[in-house]
Amino acid sequence: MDETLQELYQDLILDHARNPRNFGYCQHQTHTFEAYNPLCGDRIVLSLQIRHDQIEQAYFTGEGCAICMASVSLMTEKITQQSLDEVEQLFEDFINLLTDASLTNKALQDCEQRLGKLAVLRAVQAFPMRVKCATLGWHALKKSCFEKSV
Amino acid sequence: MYTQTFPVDVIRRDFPILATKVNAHPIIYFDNAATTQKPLAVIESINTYYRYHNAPVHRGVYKLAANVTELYEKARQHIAQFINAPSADQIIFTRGATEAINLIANSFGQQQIAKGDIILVSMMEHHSNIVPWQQLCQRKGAILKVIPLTEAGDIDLQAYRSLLEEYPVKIVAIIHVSNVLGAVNPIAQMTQLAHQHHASIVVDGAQAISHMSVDMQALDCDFYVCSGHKIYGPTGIGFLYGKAALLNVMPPYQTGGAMIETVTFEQTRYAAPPQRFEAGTPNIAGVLGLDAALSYLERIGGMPSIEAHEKALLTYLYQKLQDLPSVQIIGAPAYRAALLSLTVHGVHPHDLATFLDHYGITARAGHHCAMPLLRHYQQVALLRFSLGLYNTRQEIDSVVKRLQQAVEELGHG
Ligand SMILES: Cc1ncc(COP(=O)(O)O)c(C=O)c1O
Repeated sequence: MDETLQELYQDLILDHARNPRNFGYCQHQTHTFEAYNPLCGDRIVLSLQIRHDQIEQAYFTGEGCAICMASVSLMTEKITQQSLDEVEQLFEDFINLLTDASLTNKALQDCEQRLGKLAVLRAVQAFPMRVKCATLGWHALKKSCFEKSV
Repeated sequence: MYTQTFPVDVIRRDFPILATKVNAHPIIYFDNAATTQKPLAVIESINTYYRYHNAPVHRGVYKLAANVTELYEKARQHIAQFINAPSADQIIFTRGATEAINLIANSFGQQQIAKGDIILVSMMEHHSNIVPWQQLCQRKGAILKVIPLTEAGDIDLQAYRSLLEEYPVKIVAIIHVSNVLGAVNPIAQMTQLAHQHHASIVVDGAQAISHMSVDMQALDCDFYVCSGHKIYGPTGIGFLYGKAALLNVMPPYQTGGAMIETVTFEQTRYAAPPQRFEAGTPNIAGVLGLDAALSYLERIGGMPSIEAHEKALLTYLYQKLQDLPSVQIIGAPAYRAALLSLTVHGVHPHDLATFLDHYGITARAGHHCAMPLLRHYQQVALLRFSLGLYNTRQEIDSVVKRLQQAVEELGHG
């Protein structure tokens, strides 16, 4: 693989795509949302346990491409034990990282620092057709946390 | 001039886009089922039209309008001859296959279908040959039924026969060549069966006409639809062929200028076909571009030699893919036009498409507007390779090599 492709399909992403973490359902699920991309067939069901405005547990099931699966897998790791305020910030950071080419270096650094491992998905910016794959799980997150509960 | 055998290297020079690069690699265009590339002859015919001939058709007594009307009607005759239709009046220009099917459903279908009637579609239809019929059924209280497939991915003719025997089938809507499986359906036989049971048959030829000779009189179908852009012509133009006896009594699909005989505020008398179905100023540049595309295909040897070239390519591609154990080709129809879809164990089709694109290889991943068919195969997305007249063995070698590389580098190790 050459460099740009290597960035997109780096080991961390392939590892999470092949062995997704937190795959399944929360035992005490309080919130859920199914996100579907009809254009490519990717489908993600997010299962959350939220207590006192904090995500206690985050699980997911579904099927999708490597980018989609790795993004959700890394996301569930990241949002576990985070407050909803922090999750909202992460959502914004992640979307900005993938879609906003005009971020200042400082803003970019802050974003990447808050996102941690998830920052590897920045490589998706070079593949605009794949941004939807990387953000599918995040839209499910936004819907399940900030719209109605089950 | 071109020689007896298919001189693909010479032919490739007629297509400017084939000399371009994608991601710094020479383009390998394997998405011909979505749309085909255009030869210079087509590009130049559009250019010439706007430079020298632009005028309204069927209106105006001046020379320019008369000239372009003649060109426009010659194009219609050319299409009729290309598909062996009895008369040019049976060719109606549309925006494409989609609009042509909508025209049939909304005019013929609306006229013929009553509550409780059955419309048959097959399991392998493109959405464009499902949704207009579904809508018609909803409007009329009619019922849509599905012709199943055999294990191999062919139309199950036994089941088709039973459906015709068992139900009051009025219309059969069937794809000629599947845009996913490549299966070539036995249209002549299906038409005969439909007619025996007093049903009309509508054939979606969008994927057939670029790969083989199609003959309206041999097929004997009632309607046949095509898109110009899938047969090396421009986008935004296509056509519908219909049996004269049906067209003559069908109501218009859209109304307005150009499709009338006389208008008073009390009443309008419609023009005869084809004008009745071509309201408004048509896509003249598109019609002339499509005419140029057909002339080009004839000049390079015609459909039989294109079919032979593509058949050899498909066989080669098929064999090379068989050597990759993680590749599963979907369906094994008895006759296949030059396209196939596949899955790769452990790598999602979208990741494959991105990987291939990175090396200049244009292949489509997704549901290919055939979600019921994909559900039948329990798939949500497939990678498709669809070949055209300008593809080569060397391109197949490159594609298969990159596919193998993708399996190694993205797969389960
Ligand atoms: C089998 C089939 N039918 C119909 C269509 C619709 O053609 P168009 O989009 O040109 O109207 C397509 C193209 O996608 C097709 O493959």
